[in-house]
Amino acid sequence: MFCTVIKREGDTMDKDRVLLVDDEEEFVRALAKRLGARGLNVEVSGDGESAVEKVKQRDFDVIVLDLAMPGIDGLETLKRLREVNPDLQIVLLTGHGSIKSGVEAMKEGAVDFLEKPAEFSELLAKIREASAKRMLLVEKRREEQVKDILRDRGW
Amino acid sequence: MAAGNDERPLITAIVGGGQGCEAILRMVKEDTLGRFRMSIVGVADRHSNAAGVRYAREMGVERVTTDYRDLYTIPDLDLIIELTGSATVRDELELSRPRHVTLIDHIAARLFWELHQAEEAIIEQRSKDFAIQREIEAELVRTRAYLQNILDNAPVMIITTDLDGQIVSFNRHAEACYGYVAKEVVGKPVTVLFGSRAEWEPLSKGVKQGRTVQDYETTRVRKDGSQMTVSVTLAQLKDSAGDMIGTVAMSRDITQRQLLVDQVIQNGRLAALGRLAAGVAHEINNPMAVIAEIAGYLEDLTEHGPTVKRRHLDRELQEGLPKISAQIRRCRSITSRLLSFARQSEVRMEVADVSLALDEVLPFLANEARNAGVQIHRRLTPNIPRVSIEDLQLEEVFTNCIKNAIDAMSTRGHGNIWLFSEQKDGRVILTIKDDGPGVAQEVVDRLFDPFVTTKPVGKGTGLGLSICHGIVKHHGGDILVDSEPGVGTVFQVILPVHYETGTNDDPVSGC
Repeated sequence: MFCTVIKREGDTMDKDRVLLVDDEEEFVRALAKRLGARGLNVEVSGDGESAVEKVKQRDFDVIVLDLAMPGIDGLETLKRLREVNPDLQIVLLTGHGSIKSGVEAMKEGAVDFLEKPAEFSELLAKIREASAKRMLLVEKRREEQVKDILRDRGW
Repeated sequence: MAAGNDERPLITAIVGGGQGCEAILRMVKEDTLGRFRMSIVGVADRHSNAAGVRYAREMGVERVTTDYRDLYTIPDLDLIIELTGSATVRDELELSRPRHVTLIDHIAARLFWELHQAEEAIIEQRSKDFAIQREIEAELVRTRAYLQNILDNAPVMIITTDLDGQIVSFNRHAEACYGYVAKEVVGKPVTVLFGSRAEWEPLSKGVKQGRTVQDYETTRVRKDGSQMTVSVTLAQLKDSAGDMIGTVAMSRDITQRQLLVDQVIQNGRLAALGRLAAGVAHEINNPMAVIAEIAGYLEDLTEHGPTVKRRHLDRELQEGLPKISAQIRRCRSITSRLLSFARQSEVRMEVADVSLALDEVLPFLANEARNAGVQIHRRLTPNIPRVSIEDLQLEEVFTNCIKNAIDAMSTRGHGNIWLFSEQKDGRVILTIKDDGPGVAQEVVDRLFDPFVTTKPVGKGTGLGLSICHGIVKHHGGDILVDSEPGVGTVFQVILPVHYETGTNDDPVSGC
């Protein structure tokens, strides 16, 4: 299965751009390597504030966000990220027993959530799913833009 | 009055057959008791149709005539009563009567009649009084039966004693609860019902001083030797003059309720255990997530064997495996902390330090206090002795009491909580004082009953404080509450000082 998903030397523009936000350093590093090996363009952040900064600088398709973090917590980070870019697809990683905050985060616009420790394949599937959604969203926007332009010109 | 003292009745005739005559005839006739020893044998009146004459004929009086002289021939006539009211007739009778016949004229007759009437009236009054008396007595009997009925049907044990503590009455509910028949215990000292005889002395002393013992919870022993938990209210029994003649106790069997409270405490402990387990799982999940990803990454590399350079794989293994080991050490330290904690509570189960317990509890409540705008001030006395209670339970009690205070002030958005500790008479007292809204006395009285809550529906179960009360009582302590609406509430958690077995001199100071 590994070989089928890998697109080794593609154009970086084609890769799903993923930002992992988690204060557990070893965890994000290993996860980033594994996701990278599956053709994703992965960056990591150790806390909410630096994640918001990163998103301001460049676009991501999917954010994987830990809810329990020191500094500004996951929920607050989520709100700020969506302020910067409402199209961001955010998948949550929650600790056991924080289903409640997970639900709250879904209300705030997260697309999915997983309980920690999550099955890698499941996480990967959710990232891809979110990425596909994002693609659809972008295309839809583009289509609307084209329509708007055409309408403006009297078509 | 020739025959005055004789046994035979007076042979009598009446002159004047009007209403007076009829009245005398009726009186004689109705005197069935024979109190009048008088036999009326003749009546004379000029009018043969007068009321008395008619009645005399009806009665069958022997000689009824229009001429009074006819009466003189009646054999053995003793007496003539003149009722005509005429002085002329009286004078004629006086002159013409045979000498052995006595004459009573209408004036004397009226006197006798009035005497008779007066007597009748007195008798009537007496019988009326008697009827009233009977009515009163019947009422008394009814009242007594009614009161007895209340005593018998009251769904509460009512037991009275005399001044020496001997049982005087024992109602039906008491019989049902204790298994004794009243006869078996009446006259016996009330302490036959007690678990400990020593309990009576201070109780009765207090009552003799005029105190009413309210809802005092204690243990009683049934006839079969089994124990029951009762809530007793004990007061003076006074006579109508207001002097104490004994005691009256009303008790309820609360064994079932006590079992429920015990169960609630047990459930509370399970809930605490559940929270602990959740916390542990949460802490262990993090290193597990790290291990999973590192191991997964290494798996990726080995699965991918041929395309990965041997040297690269070696380097990643060298880096990754120690990381896994580190995370495993992290897990181990969590579990070993938990184990040592469990061992600790096994060995020194019933000892806790008030200050340490607060150290554990306050950080958890800090967030809530901040959100409610409540400041918590610690005014603890250092080196206070430890108390006889499981530390986890003490933490549970403090958490509940402080949380209660915070909750009370949360709607207002500001407030203060002061925590004081002191040692007094072999007891440690932790005072939790707030300047919140306070509650009314009725609420204070029921504060420790299960399911009593002043919080909105769904906010509180009303179990927290009843659990605390149960826990503290179970350890020989007490929780006191004082509250004044608009001023604040004071909770006092009182627990016995723990004395280390073996060294019975000094309580061991917490460190």
